[in-house]
Amino acid sequence: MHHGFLPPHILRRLAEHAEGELREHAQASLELSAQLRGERSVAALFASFAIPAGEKRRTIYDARHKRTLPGKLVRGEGDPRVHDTAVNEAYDGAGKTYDFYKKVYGRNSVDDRGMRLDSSVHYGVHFDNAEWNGRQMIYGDGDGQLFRRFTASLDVIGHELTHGVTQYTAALDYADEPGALNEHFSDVFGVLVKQYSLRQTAAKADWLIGAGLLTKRVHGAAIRSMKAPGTAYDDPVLGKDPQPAHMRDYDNTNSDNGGVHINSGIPNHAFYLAATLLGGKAWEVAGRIWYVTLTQKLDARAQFRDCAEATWEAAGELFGSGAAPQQAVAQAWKQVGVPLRDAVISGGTRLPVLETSFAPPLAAGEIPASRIRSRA
Amino acid sequence: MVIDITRSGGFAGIIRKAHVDTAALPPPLRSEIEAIVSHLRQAMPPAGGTADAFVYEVRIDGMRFTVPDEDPAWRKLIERVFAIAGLQ
Repeated sequence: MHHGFLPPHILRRLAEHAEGELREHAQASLELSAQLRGERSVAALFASFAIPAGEKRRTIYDARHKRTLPGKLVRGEGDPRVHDTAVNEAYDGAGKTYDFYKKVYGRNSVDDRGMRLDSSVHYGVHFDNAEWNGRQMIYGDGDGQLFRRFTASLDVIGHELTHGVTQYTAALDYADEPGALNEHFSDVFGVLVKQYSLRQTAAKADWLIGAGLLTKRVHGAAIRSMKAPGTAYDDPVLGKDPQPAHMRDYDNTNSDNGGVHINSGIPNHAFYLAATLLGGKAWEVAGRIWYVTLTQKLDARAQFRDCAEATWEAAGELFGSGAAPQQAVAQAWKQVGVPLRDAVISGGTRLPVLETSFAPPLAAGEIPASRIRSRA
Repeated sequence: MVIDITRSGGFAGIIRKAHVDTAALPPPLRSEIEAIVSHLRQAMPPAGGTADAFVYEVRIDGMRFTVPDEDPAWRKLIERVFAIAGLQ
């Protein structure tokens, strides 16, 4: 076990489907996984040394096309630029992400304790991916045919580092709805890092994730679109962007850990809607609501509805009950097919529903409001 | 031996599939692939834990394995099968 988490669904499948030793190993790991479950400090065991508060510390390594981490140290904090675009992009992107979290939300690095931000570039050969492995960022150069280097988009760097923030806060399981939320928060803060660095309003922003990653020969603008999920690319080789924008199109797939990169389109679109309904700079109001939700209100098994209701609660606490931000949040989630429960909106979860003697007569098929509330 | 591999996940979440029937391969290639597979059954794919990592579903004669992108032995099979299938 060399990572912060174990994804139990993978082990479970192995334990069920594999044979002999493989099966035994999977079962043993599942037991270990169970022991570790809920223990958020596990990741912290691997964290870098204690660093004075409020300091930005970046370290960039060159994996030199191998798959061994971290690779050769090529640039540390304060070191001058080098003759390697990927190294400089990883350095600058990590810096912009650190600054965003520090200045906008007062967060000191991914763990809020000044953890050093390590990145390895030139990972593998033609590696079409960027990852957060629980301790550091990893960037491939892309195959050059379809994908360019993964450091080319600032929102990708913000996305990866936000996986670190999530790891130290809500620690959302990386599968199914919690996994899609994990991806969602990475897209939200990834796109906000970009908007913040450009001082861009919600109305002016493109709301694309990974714009600039695809080569010119690909028919597509980006990897994902929060404004219009499902429209980022449509290409003979890559296929069509599979993201839904509404709960009725939720993809119950087994691949991609239960569609974590697919179903994130639903909450992504809710964030976009809330931010554009509110107008102005998305990181100031909508972003703050989502930041408080991620860092204070969700646990590892949170579902879309839990997230929706948590953003409602956070909006009320931050900007006032019934105020515009809370209304925008409610409308946004409703539009993507994740409506808030009536009991949450009425704020009467702990109060008994009062039966009134003067209820208006009901039309045929209409459900009394009191019934809806008591059922919720 | 029939091998089907589906790659999903990764930052971009794009699906990639490869299919190889070793009976249709030249004998040296067939032996190579079958030797890799014979090792796999004793190998333990390590637990994942990487956000945005690729996920592979490997079916070998109908037996299904979900494999993270980290184990060198599994990766060798995946890379060879993808190469034979003409994919990256």
